[in-house]
Amino acid sequence: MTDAAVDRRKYNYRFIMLTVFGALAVIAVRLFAMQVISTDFYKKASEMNGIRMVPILAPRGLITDRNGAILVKSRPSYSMFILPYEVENLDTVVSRLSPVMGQPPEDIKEKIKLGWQGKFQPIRLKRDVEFGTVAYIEEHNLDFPGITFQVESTRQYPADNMGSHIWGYVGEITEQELTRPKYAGYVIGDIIGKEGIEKQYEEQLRGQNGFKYLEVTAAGRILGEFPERPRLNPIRGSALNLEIDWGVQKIAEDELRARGSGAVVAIDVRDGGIRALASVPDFDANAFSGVITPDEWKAVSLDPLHPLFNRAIKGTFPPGSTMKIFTAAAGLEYGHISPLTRFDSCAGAKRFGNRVFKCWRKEGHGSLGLVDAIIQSCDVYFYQLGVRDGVGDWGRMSKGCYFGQKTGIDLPGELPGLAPDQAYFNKRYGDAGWTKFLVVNLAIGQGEILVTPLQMAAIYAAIANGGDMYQPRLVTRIITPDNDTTEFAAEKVGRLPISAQNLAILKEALKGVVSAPSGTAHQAAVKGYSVAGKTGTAQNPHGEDHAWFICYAPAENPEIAVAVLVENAGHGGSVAAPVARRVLEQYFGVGTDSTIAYNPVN
Amino acid sequence: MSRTFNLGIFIPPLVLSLIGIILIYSATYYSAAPSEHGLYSRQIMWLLVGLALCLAIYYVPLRVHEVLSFAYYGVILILLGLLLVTSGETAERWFRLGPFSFQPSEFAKLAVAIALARYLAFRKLDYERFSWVFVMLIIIGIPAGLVLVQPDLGSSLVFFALFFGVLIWTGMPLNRILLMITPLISMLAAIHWFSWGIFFLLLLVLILISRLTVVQGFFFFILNLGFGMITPLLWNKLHGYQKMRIIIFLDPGQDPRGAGYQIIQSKIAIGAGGIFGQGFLKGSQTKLNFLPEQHTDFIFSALSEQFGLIGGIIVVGLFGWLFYKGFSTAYRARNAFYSYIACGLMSVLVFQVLLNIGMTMGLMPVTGLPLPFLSYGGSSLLFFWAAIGFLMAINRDWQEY
Repeated sequence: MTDAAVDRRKYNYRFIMLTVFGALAVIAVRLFAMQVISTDFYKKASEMNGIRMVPILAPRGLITDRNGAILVKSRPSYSMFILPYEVENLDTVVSRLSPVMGQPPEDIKEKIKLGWQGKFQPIRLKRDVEFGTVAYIEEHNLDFPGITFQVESTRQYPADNMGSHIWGYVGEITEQELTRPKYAGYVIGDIIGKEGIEKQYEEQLRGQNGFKYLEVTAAGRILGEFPERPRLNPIRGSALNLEIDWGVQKIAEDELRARGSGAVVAIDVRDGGIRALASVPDFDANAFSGVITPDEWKAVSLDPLHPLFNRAIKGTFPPGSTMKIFTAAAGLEYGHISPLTRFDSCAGAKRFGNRVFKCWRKEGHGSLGLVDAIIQSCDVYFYQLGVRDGVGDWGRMSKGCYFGQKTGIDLPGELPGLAPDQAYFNKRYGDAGWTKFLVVNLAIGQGEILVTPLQMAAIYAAIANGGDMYQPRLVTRIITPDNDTTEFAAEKVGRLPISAQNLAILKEALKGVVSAPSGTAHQAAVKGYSVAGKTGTAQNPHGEDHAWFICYAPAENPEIAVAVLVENAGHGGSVAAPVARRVLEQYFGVGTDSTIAYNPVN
Repeated sequence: MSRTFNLGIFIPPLVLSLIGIILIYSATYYSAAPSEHGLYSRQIMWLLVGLALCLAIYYVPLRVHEVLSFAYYGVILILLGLLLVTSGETAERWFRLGPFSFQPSEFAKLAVAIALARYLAFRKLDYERFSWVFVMLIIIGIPAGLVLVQPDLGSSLVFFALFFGVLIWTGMPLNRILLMITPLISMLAAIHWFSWGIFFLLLLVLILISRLTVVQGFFFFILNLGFGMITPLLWNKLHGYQKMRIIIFLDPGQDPRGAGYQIIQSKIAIGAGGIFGQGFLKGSQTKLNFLPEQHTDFIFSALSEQFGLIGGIIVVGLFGWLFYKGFSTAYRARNAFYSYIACGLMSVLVFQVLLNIGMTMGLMPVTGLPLPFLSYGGSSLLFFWAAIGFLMAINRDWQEY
């Protein structure tokens, strides 16, 4: 080696030593900066790291019926989480979980993919895991690395889908819902009411979440509560007392189920309290509020019978003959007829313009006065009365009787139906685009008029109580955990535009429908009580006609009104009237099995 | 023997290894997986094997390695190649032989250091020419490439640290070494037109003062132009997630729930340690398992949390002592072959120590390289103890004269 080369190597040796010790010096300085100068900052971060503020979910409020029977409650349940960081071989763990959870591995992996927020964030795999499963996994925790459980609250609804259309269901808040001002203060993973009472009274039922401070490992393993910070206990949601009478509700649903699909609304005519609100088919609120698999959801949402659709408040149907008393009211109230007025006698059909309109009874009814025309439901009589009323007065009466308006029940999603009048037709068809004979169909409740079963119950209740229209109500009382009670008084919306004298005539006729030899609804008669009502058949262009029966009882001193709609059941008298009878029997405590023992939530 | 057995080289790694065992014990003490609880005892076993290996190498005449140097190199290439062929779809870094598994890449460092020394020691190096540098690059490049495709980016970087360490050791003028890494700088500078322009101005200055031949000057100019153009071409070809991976590699803060999480937790652990530390088994980050990989890659953070600045400085000091002894040995070695071996092994050691500690403090990217002597892992411990054996043997031969 030459001297120059040796010199150069010495130079480079020094360069290396300088670099290496320079780097070590940088490390030492950095250590000093972190551990002496900024140590407080890191110490605080370290302390906060191991302490996790864990919400203690407030149990949602109870829902009871008018007699205090608990219908809906909350119970603690286990939710299963997976922490990806602790899982070395995901395939193995998922394949072991699959038989335990009863789900194919692909579904579990899909859930992990959807919930992924980084490998240090736990992902919720399942809510409401059975205790046996929890015990099994905890026992074999070496086979299930990264699987943890947390206690959460699960809503428990009555069995057999009972009342599902009243309370609806709860579910996890969606990202879209989180952006709405209504849900300010909610976070991802919170449970909210999605339908029915649960949604309508979300604010009262929710309660206030508490917090506890836990010392946890990075893996989410809880070491215990952090002693220096006291927990904030949750406040449970307020309890709701419903106007519902559970026995009446159950009978209504059972009777409907026996006859296919439809709706029943029973309402207290004295204050608008809903005694029963049934819609069939229905759904399992328990399944919806737990973990619903995509298949279950598909099955329900694609069911052609639409079990999620609340027919009582969202189903709109032509009222059929149940509308006739309002056609009559328009005639009496606006002076077109007197109770004694007779029209051309009914021979089973009558021609208006160039169209022939049939009566439901082919043989005809002959010549009838108003009361008999209602009792026998003679179509030809009401065609002529309708023409006499004209679209103007007929529309005026139906509007005045609150058709085409929401009743204002405390449930989300109620539909107003449709009450056409002169202005409506002018708008729809142009001023000269329609004939006055449109009213012929409207007079017997067909054509463009659409009503909900709830509306019919509420309006017949107003007829029954002498003309006072009440806003229907499901919730009668809210009781906070501190026992502060808010009572909901009956709310009068207004009066029907029918005089007491004319109302008496209509009520006399409605009584006859059930009790007169020629009436159409003998099957609604209840032993020991007089029932007043009206049958109807709603024409259905898509299939069999729907059967209506709307009634109230006792006829002399009415307490309850019941609207029954049975879909695709044909004539109202034979199918819908017996449903109403069973509901009334339960209400009055008479009949075959009037005393139903209830334990809806066990 | 006591006269020649150099305790100055032997003591620091021994103390570091013992500290490592204590740290592994504490880092796995609260671990959720029971299988991790016994890791410290396995490390003790590895340490005993490592010490035996160290002594064996110490007593084998160095001349043997001189003869076998290229044979080692060939064997290790075959092993790395086999690993590639047998590993199938999933990448593998390990050979499994019954209950044992070992990482050929660790021993590849040794074989490359010896082969490189063998190549350089018996050659007159002409600093005006670059041909022997290319041979060096090839000797290093083949195993580095085989490791890179495993894929083990960290380990392949180690080979280039070895390359530069040895290259500097040859006495090559530093401005020429700088010239040789300009293509890499060019790739980085090519991120923006402006920075690339500045870079080329500086490059021209460097070429002029390096007194290159015209051909060499043109060669480097073209080389830099070419490498610079790779960057935008390559970058645009990458998928979004690949770009993200590179960005996260350079700046872990971009991924606070993945790689960034580790860095954040590691920095918290170090900073919270303070001057005296939180005490043995009392580090909350370690205890609550917020530190990922705390018994392997992030063992320095576990040290700093429990034993504070004092513990950190002691460990850094022990490494400094070893660095000094190691490079002194290289500098005073009896012949060039020994000198290059010592320097090559020291380059690996220094690089891994600086990269690992730098990573735990957020100064370096996360590469997954273990901290020599302290991190859990048999192959790594064996390699570094083998290196200590070589250093002591080289030191002995020097002292015999």
